[in-house]
Amino acid sequence: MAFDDDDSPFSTRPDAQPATAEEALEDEDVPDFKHFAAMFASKKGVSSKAIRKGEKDFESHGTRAQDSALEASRSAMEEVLSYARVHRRDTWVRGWFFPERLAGSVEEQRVVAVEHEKGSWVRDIGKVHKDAGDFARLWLLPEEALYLVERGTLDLWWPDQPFEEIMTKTIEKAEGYGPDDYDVGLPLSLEAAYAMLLGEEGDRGKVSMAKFQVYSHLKRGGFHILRAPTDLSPPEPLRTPAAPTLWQWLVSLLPTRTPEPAGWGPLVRPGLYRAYKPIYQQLNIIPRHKPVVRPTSPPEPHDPFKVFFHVWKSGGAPFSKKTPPLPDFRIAVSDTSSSFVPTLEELDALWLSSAPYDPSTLEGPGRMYQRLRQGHRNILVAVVDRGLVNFIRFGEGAFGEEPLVTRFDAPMRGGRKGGGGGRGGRGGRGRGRGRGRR
Amino acid sequence: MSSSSSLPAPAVRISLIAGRYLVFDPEGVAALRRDSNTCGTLVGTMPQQPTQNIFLGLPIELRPEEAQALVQRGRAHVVDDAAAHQVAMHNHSRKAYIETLRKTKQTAHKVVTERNAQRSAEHADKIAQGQRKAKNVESVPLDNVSLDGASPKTPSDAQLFAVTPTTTKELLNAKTDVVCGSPNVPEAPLARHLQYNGYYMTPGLRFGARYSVYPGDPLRFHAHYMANQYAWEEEIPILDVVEGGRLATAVKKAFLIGGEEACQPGPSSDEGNVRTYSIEWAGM
Repeated sequence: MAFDDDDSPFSTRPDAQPATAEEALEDEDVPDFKHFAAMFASKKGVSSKAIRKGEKDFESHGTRAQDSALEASRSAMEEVLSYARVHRRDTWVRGWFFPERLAGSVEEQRVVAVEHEKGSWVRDIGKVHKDAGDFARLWLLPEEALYLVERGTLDLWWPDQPFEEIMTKTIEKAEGYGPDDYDVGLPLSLEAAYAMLLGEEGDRGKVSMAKFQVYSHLKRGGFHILRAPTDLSPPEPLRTPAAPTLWQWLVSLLPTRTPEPAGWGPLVRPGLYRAYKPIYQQLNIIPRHKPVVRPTSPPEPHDPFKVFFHVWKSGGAPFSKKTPPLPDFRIAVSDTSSSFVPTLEELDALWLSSAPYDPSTLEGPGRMYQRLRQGHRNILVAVVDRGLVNFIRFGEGAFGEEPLVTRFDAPMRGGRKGGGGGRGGRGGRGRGRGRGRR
Repeated sequence: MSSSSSLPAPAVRISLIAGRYLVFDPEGVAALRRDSNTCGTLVGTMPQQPTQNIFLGLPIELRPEEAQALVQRGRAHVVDDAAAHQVAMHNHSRKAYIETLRKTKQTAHKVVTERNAQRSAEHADKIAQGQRKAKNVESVPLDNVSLDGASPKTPSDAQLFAVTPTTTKELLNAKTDVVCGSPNVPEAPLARHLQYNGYYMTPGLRFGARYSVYPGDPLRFHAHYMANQYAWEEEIPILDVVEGGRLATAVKKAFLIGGEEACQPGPSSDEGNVRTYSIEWAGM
């Protein structure tokens, strides 16, 4: 190919030119902590020390300058990582870990009860549940609780007294009941919260590490995210194909003169053809995929290719967790250590059971590739590789819905291409494109 | 540096939680980085900056083969953390933990108080300076200024309230720990070999290989290799080599492949018999 020479290795030797692309990629790899250093300016005199000092080196050259630059980076990083989460009185939110309290109820996955919720996080986190004992509390899912602990919002406690007693004390604001009362329970460390809230796939009241990492990745990115409802009625189509106009309907009544393919002889019957369409129609013997608008009995999806989260972009109308609008994204979570690329059956089950029929609204021949790219149904699959989160979008494509024949038969627009070149020009363009792709 | 002294460091505690190998203790993370050339991947939300995905915080997650190599080298031990916490929460030997909590709270309180005091002093200074620079210097009553500056940040006993420590190490002692054996994962001789030889590795995902291999701490050095592991008798598709070579060259690294030759009987070093080859793209 013509442009192969452009990426000749000789033009990209280490010393040849500034390593822009590589630098950008590596910057992603190694966090630059100097943005946070300022927070500790008065804590231990770290001042504006940056983790990464200047350009990186190719290899060790044993100089003191290099050693001290590395040491400076390391200690700045250690400083940042040794931060302890502190809670202030005005924003203190305590959660209690009661994994058995809601067992057996509809909300049995929720394991943390919040004493007094405050803060804007309540918008898309937690659900108020009134249990048998008549205590209505905000209950959190394991991923919600762990995310809040990790970001320093929630003070999670291990209870040493029964639920009723603790909640009564909360309501009555009992004397001495507060953050220093270690008789009621113990505050849990981040590590303890991980150990108690994470578990294997399918453990009640726990969440898998991959799902938690996807959840917090999206929360950090500012998305609203809720678990997808577990009842699997296929979602209503977002738009139905437009009803045919009266004229189209009348035309459809006319007998079409496409001959049934004979069981023998040439595929295209010899004869006189004045348009491409009848020729292509005879060639069309392999059935093509046609997206179903309302699947009657969708196959059942299985983990990991099963929608677990519904996700909404931030901004726009205020988000309501009680009556959420239709989600912007539906996400299944897979882990590189235990799953492969989904099979067609798995994808079909995923699309038909949980994604609504939602073809592109863009019209016209110029938008064909955009329509194909959007597909008729969409699912995101998050791929978690040891803490790194990536997303792949699977769209139900339908090439059969984009007939090209009609374009070949469209009347020429005179003048634009010069007279007479119409048909040949189109054919030529088609061939040319094919050759380029080969 | 001083860290590479001969003193054997205490083994780092790796928490096995839900099948993942995590390190929570900042000192352990530092020790792994300094003494065992292992940096792991930071996977937690950073409490200082919780609304971004570029700089993450504790814990770090280790790949199973990294944990395995560390255990084999005696640099770390793996603990079933859920079990350890279940035991620790139910017994009442937790005075130490409460004591640490109290102390941490006091220290944090002191730090916050000092910082706030310093800030409000600086703030007041600035306002005072600004006002002095402004027209009517004399007419500004200094009392008001300092009050304004200090009022929202007044340090008081009520301000600091509770602390969430990162680890539970005071509560968990060696007795309650359920030590797991060496991680039972498919052998990763190449990763072990590179780790034994002082190389740092990060996931090679972004460059299309299994590991990015660094000659020193990735904080300071560029990666030299993109590495993939093969079994000794495994046929290597030539396209793999082309692919790897091209990807690595595009980011100015060499493509490294390696595998372990079946052990011969007799004395063998614990790092096995690993052979490595680096492939460079010849731009003919």
